[in-house]
This record gives sequence, C-alpha cells and structure tokens, in this order.
Amino acid sequence: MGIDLEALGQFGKILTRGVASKMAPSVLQGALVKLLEPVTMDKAIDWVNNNTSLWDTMGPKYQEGLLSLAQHAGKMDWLTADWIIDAIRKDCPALASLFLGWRKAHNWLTRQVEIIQREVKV
Amino acid sequence: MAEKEVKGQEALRRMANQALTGSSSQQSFEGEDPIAAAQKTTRAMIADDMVAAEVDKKKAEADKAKAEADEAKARARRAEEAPSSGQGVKIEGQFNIQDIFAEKEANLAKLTAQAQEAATTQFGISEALREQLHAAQLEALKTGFTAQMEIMTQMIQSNASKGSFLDQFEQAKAMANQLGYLEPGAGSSDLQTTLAIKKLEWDQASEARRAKREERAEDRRWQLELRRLDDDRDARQVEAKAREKRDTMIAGAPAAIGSAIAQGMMDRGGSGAPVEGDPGARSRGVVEAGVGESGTFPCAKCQQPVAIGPTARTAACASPGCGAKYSIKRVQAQEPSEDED
Repeated sequence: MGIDLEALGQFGKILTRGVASKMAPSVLQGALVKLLEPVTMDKAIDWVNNNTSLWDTMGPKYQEGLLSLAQHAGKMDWLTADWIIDAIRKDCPALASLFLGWRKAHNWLTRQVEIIQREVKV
Repeated sequence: MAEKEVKGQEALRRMANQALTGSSSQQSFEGEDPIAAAQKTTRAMIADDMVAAEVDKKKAEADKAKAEADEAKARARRAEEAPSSGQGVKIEGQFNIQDIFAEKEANLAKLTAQAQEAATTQFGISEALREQLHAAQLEALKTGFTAQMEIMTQMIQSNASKGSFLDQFEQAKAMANQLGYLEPGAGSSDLQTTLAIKKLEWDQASEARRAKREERAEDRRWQLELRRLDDDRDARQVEAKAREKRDTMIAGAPAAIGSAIAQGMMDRGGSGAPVEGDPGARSRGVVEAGVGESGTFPCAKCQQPVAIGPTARTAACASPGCGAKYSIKRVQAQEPSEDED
C-alpha cells in the first residue's frame, strides 16, 4: 500500500531528494488508489469514451500534491500506464482489469499519463 | 762610672769624626763652599748615628754587667746568711704581745660587725625581693583564675540549655542503645565480643574476595560467550553470502537459457513454433457479451472481478499472480469501431 497523497505537502520538507525519489512511487501509488477507489466501472467507461482529462478531474489538491512530489522526486520516467495498472491491481482489480483488457481504455490511460508527465515536468 | 761612660762616648765621637772627615779639627771647614759644608754635615750626622748606636750598645752591655754584679752580690749575701738559718729568728727590741692581740681582736670584731651588717642588709634585700616575687605570683594566679572562671561561666551559660553533663550522657547512652550498641561489660564478654567482631570482619573479607573471584570468572565467561557469538555471526554471514551467490546464479539461469533459445531462433531465421507464449492464451476462455455491453464477471481462476469494456474483444484478470485472459464473444454482430482490435 502506498502513502497517502495528503502527506505530500510535508513530503518535500522532511526528506532529501534521494530519499524522496526512492519513496515517490509508493507515495503516488497511495494517491492513485485513493483517487480511483471510489470510481465505478461506468464512470471509468465514461472517462474513456469521453476522453476526459484525468489531470483536470483529480482536482487542485491532487495536482499540487503531484507537483510537489515531482519537485522533490525529480524525473518520474517510471510513471507509465502499465505502472498505474500494476499499482492499482490489488486495490482496484476491476478497474485494472478494464485498462488491461480493453485497448481503448489502455490507450486513454497512456494519454493521461503523458498529460500528467507534461504537467508535472520540472 | 757614668762619667767614665760619657768620656768614652766623647772619645768615640771624635774617632768617628776623624774617620769620616780625615781631619782632627771641627773648625777646618769654616770658609769652605756650601757643598763641601753640606757633605761634612752629612758625614757628621752619620758619625753621630754611629756614635749613638755604639753608645746604646755599650749602655746595654753596662746594664747587663750591672745586673750580673747585683746578682752576684745577692748570692754573696745569701751565702753569708746561710750558716745562721737553722738557729731560729733573732728578735731585737721590745713589743707588747697583748697590745697586738687586742688590736687584732678589735680588728676582728670590727670586721665581724661589718660582715653582720652586710649580711643583714643582704637579707633585707632578699626578703623584699621575695615579697615582690610572691606578690607577683599571687597576681598571676589571680589573673589566671579569673580567666578560667570567665571561660567556665561562658561554657556553663552555653551548655545551660543542654542540661547537665549526666543528662547528656544518659541521652547519648539511650540513643546508642536504640541504635543497637551494647554497653561494654567488664571481663570476658569484651573479649568474646571482640572475637565475634573479628570473626565477622574476617568472614566479610573472605566473602568479598569470593565475590570478586566469581565476578572475574563471570566476566571471563561473558567475554568467551561474546567471542563465541561473534564467531557464530561471522560464520552465518559467510554462509549467507555463499547462499546468496548460489541463489543469484540459480535465478540467472532461466534468463540465460531464454536468451540462448531466442538467439537460437534468431539464428534459424525466426522459423519454428513459438517457444513461450502467453500462458493465459493457451487456456483462454470465452465470454459471451452483448454488443456494446460492459460489466464485470468473476475470474474463473481467482474469482477476482474482471471488467469488460463496451467495445472490448478481450478481457484480462488483473489480480496479482493470475493473469487469466478471456475472449469476448459478442452475441450480435457489430462493426468494430476504428480504434478497436
């Protein structure tokens, strides 16, 4: 289980860059689980069909958290669609299965990851 | 005799003048030059000195001769008197022995009186000094006594609140009894107590020595144990390293085998059946779904929910360690969208 995204505000103040980069995947995993846990299958299918921006949907709180994380963790090239599927595989198996078996959903997720990478790029 | 000496001296002086001046007359240098006169004067002075020395010498000889003559006369007189020395004293004239005695007694009485008077005077002085000494000693005693009295008064005043000495002693004794100190008795009990105390002290010392020995032995045992634990830890570390190395080699073996097989396939031009594929593909199940239908169904392997997209043709179980894949058979034929498989 990852670390709660709400701890991200304090994250950079406490940890050094090396430690932050090591812990960043766990932090983001926790944040994603918290973000996607309440999402139903229909909602996810709507996002995919309507090409909804995940960055805009997550709201300013998560956006700031992700920015802070990227600031202190540095390069986040490990953040890919497959990494997200793997991160939520245990806690959100149906959603992960959707992204895994439905190619359109996988493509949408890949696009959202690219958008997020662009937004948080230091 | 003195006249003879003077004549002798004069004669000597003349002889000296003649020897020095070469002339017999003293008037011969009148009318001569001053240098010659001075030389003559000098010579005369030297002659006078010689004469004086000779005169002194002769005078000493004359004194010596005179002394010898006197001594000879004395010897002669003693010799004349010697034959009559054994015949007693010859007294001539008259005298009254009573008067002599009386005079002597008077003198004696006078001396005695003087001595008594002096003794009386000395006694008086001594008595006066003794009185003074006595007075001084009394004064010193009085002063010392006064001082001691003052000190004692102060001590009494300071100890007045503490009670008498006996009270204090009783209090101290009671406190000692409360503390467990026994009142020392006379005779053999003292000796027994002393012996008992000595025995206790000896026992205590031996006990302390024994405890120290045991402590040292314990310390040595602990050091040995620590060393043994260190050795065990080192051995375990060596063993763990060896095991890790072996595991690494074993874990790397499949990858090496896979690489070798792939290399072999590439060498054969990519022909031949695939060696490894999706294990789920071989056991892929078929799920029927309506056209545009979406939802979830439980995985046949792990019972975890598997999602189906509205236009998906495959479904995959995302559960860790499962990986089951399913083909979706749409019941009603429908044209797939452009972004579908």
